[in-house]
Amino acid sequence: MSIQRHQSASPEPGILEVRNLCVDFHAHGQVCRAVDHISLGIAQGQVLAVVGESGSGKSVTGLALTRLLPPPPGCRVQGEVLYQGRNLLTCAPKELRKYRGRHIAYVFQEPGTALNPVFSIEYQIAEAIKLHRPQTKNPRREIIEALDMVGIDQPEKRIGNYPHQLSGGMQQRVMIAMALACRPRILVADEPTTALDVTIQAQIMALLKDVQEQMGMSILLITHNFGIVSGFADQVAVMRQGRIVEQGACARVLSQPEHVYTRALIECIPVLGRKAHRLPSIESLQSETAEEMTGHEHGK
Amino acid sequence: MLSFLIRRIAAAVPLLFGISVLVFLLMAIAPGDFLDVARTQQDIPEEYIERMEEEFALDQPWYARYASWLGNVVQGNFGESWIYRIPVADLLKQRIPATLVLSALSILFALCIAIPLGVLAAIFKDSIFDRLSSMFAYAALSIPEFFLALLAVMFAANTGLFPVGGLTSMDHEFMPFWSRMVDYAHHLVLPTLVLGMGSVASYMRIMRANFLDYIRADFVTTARAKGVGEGRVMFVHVLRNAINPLVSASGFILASLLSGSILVENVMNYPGLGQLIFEALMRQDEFVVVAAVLMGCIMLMLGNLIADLLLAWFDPRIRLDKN
Amino acid sequence: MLKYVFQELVHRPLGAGCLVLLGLMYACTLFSQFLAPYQPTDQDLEKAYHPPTRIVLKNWRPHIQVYEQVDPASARYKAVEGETVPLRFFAPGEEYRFWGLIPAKMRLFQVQKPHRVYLLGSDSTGRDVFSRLLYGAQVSLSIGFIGICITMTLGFVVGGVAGYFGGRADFLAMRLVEFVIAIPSLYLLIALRGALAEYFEPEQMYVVIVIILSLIGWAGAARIIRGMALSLRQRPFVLAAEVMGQSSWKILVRHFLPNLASYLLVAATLSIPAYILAEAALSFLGLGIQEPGTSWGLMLKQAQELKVFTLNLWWLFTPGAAIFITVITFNVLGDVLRDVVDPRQQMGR
Repeated sequence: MSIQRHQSASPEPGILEVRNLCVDFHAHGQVCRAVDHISLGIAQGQVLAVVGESGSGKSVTGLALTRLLPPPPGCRVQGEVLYQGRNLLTCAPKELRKYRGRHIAYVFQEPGTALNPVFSIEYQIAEAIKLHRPQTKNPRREIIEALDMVGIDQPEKRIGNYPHQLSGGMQQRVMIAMALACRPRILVADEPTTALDVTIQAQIMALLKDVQEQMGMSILLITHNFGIVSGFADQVAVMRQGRIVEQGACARVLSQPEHVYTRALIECIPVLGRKAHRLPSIESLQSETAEEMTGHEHGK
Repeated sequence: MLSFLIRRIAAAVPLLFGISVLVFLLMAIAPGDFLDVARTQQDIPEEYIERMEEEFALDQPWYARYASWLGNVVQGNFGESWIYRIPVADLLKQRIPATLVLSALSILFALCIAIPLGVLAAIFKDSIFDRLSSMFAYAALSIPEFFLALLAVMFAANTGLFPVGGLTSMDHEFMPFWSRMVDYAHHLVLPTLVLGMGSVASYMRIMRANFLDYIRADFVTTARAKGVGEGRVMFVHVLRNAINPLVSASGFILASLLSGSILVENVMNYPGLGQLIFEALMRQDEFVVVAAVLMGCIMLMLGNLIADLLLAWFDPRIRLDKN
Repeated sequence: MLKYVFQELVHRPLGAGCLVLLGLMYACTLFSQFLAPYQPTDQDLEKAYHPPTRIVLKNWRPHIQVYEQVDPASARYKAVEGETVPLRFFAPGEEYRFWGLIPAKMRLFQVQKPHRVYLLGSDSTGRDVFSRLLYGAQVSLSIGFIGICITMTLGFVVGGVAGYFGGRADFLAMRLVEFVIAIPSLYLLIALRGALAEYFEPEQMYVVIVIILSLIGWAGAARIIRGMALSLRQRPFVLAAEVMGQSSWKILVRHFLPNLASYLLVAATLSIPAYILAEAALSFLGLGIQEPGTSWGLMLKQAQELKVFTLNLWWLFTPGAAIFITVITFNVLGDVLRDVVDPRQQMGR
């Protein structure tokens, strides 16, 4: 089966467009290309899932969008990230800060460490509000409402809590509330449920779906778990070793995957009732691996 | 919070007990007793000597002497200084505040310099500034305190900008209130600088190391993702986390300050606990020595306790875990 | 392992520089008696507070300038124009015992009596500061080493036993450690010195100081070693040794010690400065090395006169600079060693 590389732009131009994004990490005199010329786009109100295993470069992609990666020389980002006519990778820092949080917000994988342990959750959410919507009359009221919306009970009491006083699921809800505080147009959710129990996972995904529908927000979901993608995402992009190997409408990709790798990933999803079977391994894709690796080492 | 306090005090009592036994033993090992030298002085009346002998059971074996001394101490009677002819307790009351003020000021001075320097050194890691401040830290750590004090006195003597020693000027008593305060401040500048110099270095290295640790933290990325400016990220988010270990370190720093004050106070003629203990040792005013050492230990313990309390107060993870 | 550490150290310019400097200093100390033109107790009351003698070149040979005393009260000396005295190298001087054993007379440089060559001036009784500096180095530099050996041994034994055996031994040891740490160090030093000094002759003060310094220093090391021992105890190779019936002491020495060696090395290097400073402080206060001995701290004590400050007799402060250089070299060396030994630090670079 020939390897099809879907390097070109996604179906229709959306509110956020990524073109030929490359991310290189420099360490100990060596260069590692984590993201290799990927292009994708998110449309208004759409959910795009980026799926791949650890090390595929999906998280790096998410962070690269608003220049959250370390500055050069440790890390170099090339390409274009177009939003509202501006290239976020090259605009002035002051301008970039306007977009961060207000237009593009993030939810991270480990809510326990992503929240600042010495500030109360009220403080941390209020910080976002004060930054982007300084004219808000009653931030406290808004925060309570936001906490309520994400499903935290007794928000008036919880508002003064510190992160370590909350369970993992609640911490993640707080993160989501914080991200939503400024009504962003795009939410980048980087493995939002990976660190949580399975039951909580389902709740958080349901919450995200709910919120997305209510607010008409776009979501860029980054995950290694194909399982949570179905029923949630509109578009799917599969990443492997820094490149997108397949892209398309979620339903189509799941039911008729074109790429070997995609198929292997889907095979790995545990299905209730199915007998245990040997999971597909990368051996069949070995030749491609070697070629790609040498390409990475000696090439660009 | 209260239970924490009680537990710490409860742990401190046996420690103090042990220390007092140790100091007493050390004094007992030295040949002769408390009043040997006093007896040789011409102008000390016989009755005084007899009274002391009785109050402190000096003709008995050391454990009886200790018991009687302890009994007296609990009532606030630390004996009398034959050099100054006043009760030791009064002497301590005069000297302890001076050392306390000097130590507190030194710590404050050290923190004021070390925190910005450490933070900037961390933010601009491996820059010229970083290397220079690192060299400064080494130098400040390595210079002997008494030598720095000597240099300071030399500087004061040669330039006349600062008084050469002491805490007060000759006509201090006759000055109005504000002039007296200024006089104190003027005399405190050099000793504070000298005593605080070593602490600056220690604090700065700790600050830099901690700051570097937290600069890579996840919550920093979150803050940036929210659109928070770099300045606020560094000086509010990171600093607030990185500063906690400084509070813990203050316990050690206080210990070295108390030790250092003996040297600095002596060279610069500063009337504090350090000078008292040294003078008392040289002239064998032993009641004073025992009491002063005990006081020094108590100050250290209190300092550590305050540091722990501050740490618990600063860090919500510790504070709220008590629930 | 030591070879590896040494090689790594040499590769870093800072580490290599420190090693060289320290090596030089200790080498000088070994040959103090040869390098110093005079005995440390050699007085010359007519030349009190003499400034450093200038060295001039006459016919390509070094000569020293002759001075005459202008004003004894204010210790002013003026160079006598044209009068110089040749500097002789490898000339015989005052007899001494090389390393305390071999009698010898030869010194590196001398001048004809009654003139004196004062490389770093003279003190209040005309003794050569440079010679005293060299002799004092023997005390100040060696005390650190000896004290460290005792401290580290004590710390290892107590910490190792506490960590390995746990239970009662651990409890007692840690209470003892806390006890020692609860007292400000100089306070304890002074108290100990006050207690023990009566039993020793002034010449034996060196021994006293070493003893009391070690008695205080071991506590910090013991606490950390105990922590490391606690974690080592769980390791499989220790369990294997126990199962095979090795005695506890053998396990401590054969297994724990090599693993702790790197920490001990770094801790020792970083602690020596504290010992040097402590000895200097004690001697400065008059509680340490006393006359007729010499040490850098004692020299600074003797410099603590108003005359010195107002007349700007700066050379009397050179022992302070010597202490500073020694201590900073050890500190830098210790930090470089720590970087070499602790891989985690390396990653952080």
